[in-house]
Amino acid sequence: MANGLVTPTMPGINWIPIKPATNGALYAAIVQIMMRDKTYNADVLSFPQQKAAEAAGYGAFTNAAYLVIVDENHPNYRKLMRAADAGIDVPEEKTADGMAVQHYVVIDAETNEAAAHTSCDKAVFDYEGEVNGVKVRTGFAMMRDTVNAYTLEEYAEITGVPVAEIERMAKEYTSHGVKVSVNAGAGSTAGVNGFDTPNGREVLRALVGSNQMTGGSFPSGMPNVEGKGAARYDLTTVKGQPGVTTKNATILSRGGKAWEKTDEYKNRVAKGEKDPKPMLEWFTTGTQSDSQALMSVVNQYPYQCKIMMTWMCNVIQATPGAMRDEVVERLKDPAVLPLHIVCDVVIGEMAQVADYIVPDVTQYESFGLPSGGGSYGAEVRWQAKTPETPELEDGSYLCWETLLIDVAKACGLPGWGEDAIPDAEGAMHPFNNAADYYLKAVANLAYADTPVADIDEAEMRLQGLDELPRNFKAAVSEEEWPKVLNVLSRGGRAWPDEYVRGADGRYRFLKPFETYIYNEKRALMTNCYSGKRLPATLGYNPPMFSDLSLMTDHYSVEEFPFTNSEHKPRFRSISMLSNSPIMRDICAHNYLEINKEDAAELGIKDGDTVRAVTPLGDVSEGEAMVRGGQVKGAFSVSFGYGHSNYGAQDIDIDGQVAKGNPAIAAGVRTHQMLDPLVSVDGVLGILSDHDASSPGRCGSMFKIEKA
Amino acid sequence: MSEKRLGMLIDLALCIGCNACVVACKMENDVPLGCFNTWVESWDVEDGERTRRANVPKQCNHCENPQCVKVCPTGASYVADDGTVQIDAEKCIGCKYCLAACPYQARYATESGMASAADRSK
Repeated sequence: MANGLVTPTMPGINWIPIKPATNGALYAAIVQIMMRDKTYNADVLSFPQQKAAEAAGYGAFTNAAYLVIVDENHPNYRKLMRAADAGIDVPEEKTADGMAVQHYVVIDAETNEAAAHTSCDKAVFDYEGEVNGVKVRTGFAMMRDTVNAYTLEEYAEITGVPVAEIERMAKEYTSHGVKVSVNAGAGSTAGVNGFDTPNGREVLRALVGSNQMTGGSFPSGMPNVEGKGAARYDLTTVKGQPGVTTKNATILSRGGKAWEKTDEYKNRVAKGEKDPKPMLEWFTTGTQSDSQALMSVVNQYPYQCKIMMTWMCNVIQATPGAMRDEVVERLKDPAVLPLHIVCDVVIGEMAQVADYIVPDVTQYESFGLPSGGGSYGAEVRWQAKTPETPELEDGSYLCWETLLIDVAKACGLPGWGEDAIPDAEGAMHPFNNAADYYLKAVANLAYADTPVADIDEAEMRLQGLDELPRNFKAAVSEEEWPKVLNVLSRGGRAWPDEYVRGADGRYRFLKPFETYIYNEKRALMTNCYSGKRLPATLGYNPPMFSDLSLMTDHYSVEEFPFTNSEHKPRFRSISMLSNSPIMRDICAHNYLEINKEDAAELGIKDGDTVRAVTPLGDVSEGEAMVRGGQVKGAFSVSFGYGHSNYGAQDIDIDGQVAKGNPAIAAGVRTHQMLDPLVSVDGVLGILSDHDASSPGRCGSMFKIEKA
Repeated sequence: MSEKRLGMLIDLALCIGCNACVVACKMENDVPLGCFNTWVESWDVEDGERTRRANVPKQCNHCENPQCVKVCPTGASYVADDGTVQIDAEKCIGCKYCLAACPYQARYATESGMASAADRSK
């Protein structure tokens, strides 16, 4: 169910209950049916490159036809076959970024011979055989194995979705040509097998050829308002920027690097250690992760974090199992974390343990240019009321941006202070306050494509835009100012749909778009504890701990039969607004939501106090809401309740106590278990997805009992 | 009695139970905490094989035949010229008879004991 914009009272909208952490199973079942009935788009799967797809009227291609080396003895086993493996001559070429062009190998559908993917417009996507004496299979053929790992009846058992319903969904999905899509992201990736969610989404979108097609998986977007090439100012390029990347440095959250490639591994092996294991999991293909960074901080691994800054977030509450005494104590300990600065509008759970708290401005007092969401354009959030934080001499206000700017200038960092921001002609402009930055982004928006008109006097007065802080006008040129005001007056800029919809039924600004049916990076990575691998093609990955062993191999599913999910609250904004009397008036607390059949079996009635308990003994206690709108076999809570701070606590400021309001702490939060395999001898490791390192908030094991 | 009959049309098939109307009403009309001029009742509904969600925004309906006016001993509850049902706070003695009489449970008593409900004419 997406974003609260639909509800199952609308005609044609159905809620289909599905057990948490089983998205991979549902996707795999649907793909199994599509492969059985051949209801995928065979043309799209035959395109080995973007230009072939575009020539045929489509917007995207896949690597379904690329050959994979399946010979266990071959040095490139598991990799996509390259031209060299096949004995095919190809030119040595480089891309615009200076990288070597990869020439994969496909079976050309015209000749039935092996060919470089770059010299072929139509390939055979369902193939297994030998090329140049090497055993190969296409990614599509390999996907057939992984989606058929379970029968439809077994997928129905796993997901809780009946076979008839899965068949109906698969039929419906493949009955509309390219004019369908799948939307799944954000919270539904915050599970222990969270990668399955976007993986299946992308495969399903690609299998019907919907990518970049009008009515299908159509990109939203906005003009470039900040980067190099933006209409008036480049807000990204910094002359003299330090060259720190994942190539020459290690990010704290242990992502983007294989364990075996770390300095620690190499050093321990050099010292004679056989098969050393890391204190916490490394994520070969993962990017940054705030939950993993937090755990790196409290474990001082892979290195000590000397300075932590958090802004407008509640990392500890969003990190499964982290909101516990042992973590809080370590965060308070300067020997663990020497300096912790928090910038926020409330003294929340992070600020409570910080060394310094910098007040921030609220969303009515700050700037931002989010995309228009759905259509092409951008909204502008700007300082529409005077901030409540202290005003500084230059007319700016204390906030996150001011903190960054002042610290950067004190440290003499390039790209801040005088001569920091280049305009389109190369002249340099100062960056001394938030307005210096954001108003330039608004100018970029005002001038994107065709510049907007100047605002007229009457509108300017009517909208109170003749009384803006002087910093705003000082940030842009005389010529730009009336156009910037035009955009501020309208809160952004939107282009009509025709601007991005081509007459040919595709996105007007097509970019090369490839979907991995076979994910080579996943195929090659091994787990840092067990050496196990995750499958390279779509399938169901049951919940696992950090060594990729099944949770249900460690703990009895009979004793802990429930799994869990969390969802966005209706009467809070994520973890915020617990301090709103009106919000609490409408809904004082959240509930442990339990399916009515499960509740009946457990003797639980609506309103009973219940406990959800993990195999490690973590207890989440709250009031039961017994309802039909909760899937069987799982319980759910609205996220963001069960605060300890955020105004629930008494605070001593310079000898004066500001009394806390316990009502702010109302409700239940999920006390998730830690990963039992790494959390020994004082190490604290969390449940997480093993590809992206996203927080494993959903998909654990619980028993439920009356308190 | 007025000939004019005002009404609010709410499409229940579109209501998602977000409660934005509840918040807006509270802020606009300075409704005391614990009291609601507008509230939304939501519940799960079994519809054959499917479970659906019902959302029903509720307010004072400014009835054509208002029971709160009928039972009011002081005439504090009355029908105004624009056809809406209003309360004259000066005349209300806080007997709460109208709270019991209203079939929609739209009436509530404030801290001072006086009755109140949606005032649409303002």
